[in-house]
Amino acid sequence: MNFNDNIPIYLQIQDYLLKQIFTEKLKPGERIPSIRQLALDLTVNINTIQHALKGLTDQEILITKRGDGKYVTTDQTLLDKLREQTIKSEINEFSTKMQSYGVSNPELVNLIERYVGGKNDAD
Amino acid sequence: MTLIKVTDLNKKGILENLNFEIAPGIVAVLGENGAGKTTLFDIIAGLRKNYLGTIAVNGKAKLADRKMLISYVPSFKYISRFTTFKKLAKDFSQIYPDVDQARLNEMVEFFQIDQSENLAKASKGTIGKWKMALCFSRKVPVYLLDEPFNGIDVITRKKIMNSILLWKPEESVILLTDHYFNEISSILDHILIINHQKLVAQADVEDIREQGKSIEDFYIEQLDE
Amino acid sequence: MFKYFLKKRLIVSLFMSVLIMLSTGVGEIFAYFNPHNKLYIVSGMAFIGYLVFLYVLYAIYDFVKYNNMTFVRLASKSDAKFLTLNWFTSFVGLGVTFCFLLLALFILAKPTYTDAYTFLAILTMIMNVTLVTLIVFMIIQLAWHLSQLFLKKMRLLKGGFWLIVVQFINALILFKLVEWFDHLSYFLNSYVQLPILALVTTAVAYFVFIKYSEPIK
Repeated sequence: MNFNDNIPIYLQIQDYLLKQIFTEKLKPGERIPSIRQLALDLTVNINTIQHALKGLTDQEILITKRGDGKYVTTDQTLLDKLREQTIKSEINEFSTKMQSYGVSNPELVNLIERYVGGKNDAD
Repeated sequence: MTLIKVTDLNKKGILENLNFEIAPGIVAVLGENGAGKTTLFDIIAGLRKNYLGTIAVNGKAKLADRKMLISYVPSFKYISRFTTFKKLAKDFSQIYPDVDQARLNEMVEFFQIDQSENLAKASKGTIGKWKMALCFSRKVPVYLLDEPFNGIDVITRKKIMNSILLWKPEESVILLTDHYFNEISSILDHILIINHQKLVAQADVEDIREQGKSIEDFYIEQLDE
Repeated sequence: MFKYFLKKRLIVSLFMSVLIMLSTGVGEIFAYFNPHNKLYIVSGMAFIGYLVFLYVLYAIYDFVKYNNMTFVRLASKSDAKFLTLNWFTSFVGLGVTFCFLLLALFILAKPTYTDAYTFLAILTMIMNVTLVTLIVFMIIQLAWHLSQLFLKKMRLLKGGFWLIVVQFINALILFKLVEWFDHLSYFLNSYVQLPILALVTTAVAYFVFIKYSEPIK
């Protein structure tokens, strides 16, 4: 996986894992790969992986089962809330960016509808 | 926990007043060609004697004591071109009593080393793999790798990076030098920058990224000062 | 480390010893069918002397090689110990071959060993052959390095220069010493001293060359 070298990698790994969880590639209650395996798959330093996992464990997104690795939480409410927060944050960032291009909110909605519509037609 | 401690290291014309401590992890020593990185490694490993200052590994400053704690395979110079990897590994195991045969075999398999290939026929990438396999077969706290990715193709580089991640013992340090640190920065913990014979910077890699800088940005910045 | 060095040295040493004994055997066979012709015995001894001479040169090169080999040198805890092991095992190897050399000489010279004068004469002839070989070898070396000088000026210039200097001094010493030692008794005369001195000065030349040559990558 290619990482952005000016953002802390542990944050990028957290992002990656969240994506895996939101897209159900890692299901609630499922055991995540071991630290070693993640390090190998992503070609990242083990300490960095540990740092990333610690952050997610502190947020209770991951649960540590002693001696058995880490599991995705089964708390669906938490996951839904987190997903909502993440999406909201991305939308916020996106719309701020569009505003800086001079795109008004109504125009933005229109453009997105046409974009999504176009994509659906193509499918 | 300090694993390597270098105090007041001076080698006329090459290194000036180097002082640093290194904890377990994967550490890159960066600097321009001729900055003294290879000399530093040679001194730490005990190949060069004419210097001032002290080098201590796990508190052991005497050369005889610290030599046993370091694994360094810099070159195969003067070894007969007809030597196969099998023979090389056999000789290596004989002169170093701390070689772990099981691990050596694992690495041979991981790198898919053809043990019957000889030095003359081996490509640069293959020789890089050989050096890596031999270096890591020893169970020591300090591994020195001098430009392990030099002249190595992308796939082999990825393999070597993965081998480092797989086999690095927990309380050990891997000290390496490299010019293509962009490609390997994801596995680094810490970097040291040597410029104009001095140590100009030392930092944890994630701290650099917290500032929104890439390792390359930081490196260029330090070199400009 | 000791076993490593010993193994390397003994392999070559025993190989040379086998060659020597084979030459002895061949010499003996010829001598058997020609009991009055001393030529076979002398040729056999000369050939054996030549083999030993080559082996001594190889042993010197081998010693210097291991001194420079970081692969092995890094494994020894002390440089002094490493050097000592290197020297010691070199001499063990040389010693073993030398024993076989003496054995070969006695076997070949046995029809005449009661005749001390003839025995010494044969020994002297071996030395002469060795000396001639040495001089030819030096000339070839010099010619080769001179040619290299013109072909690879930058690389071998330094080493080649020193080699010429040392070889020149080498030759001077040899010819001067012939005069100086000539008045000593037969056994210590120029025929014996000369090859030994030539061997020593060539060894020095080799050391100097290897030390001052730029390595060719």
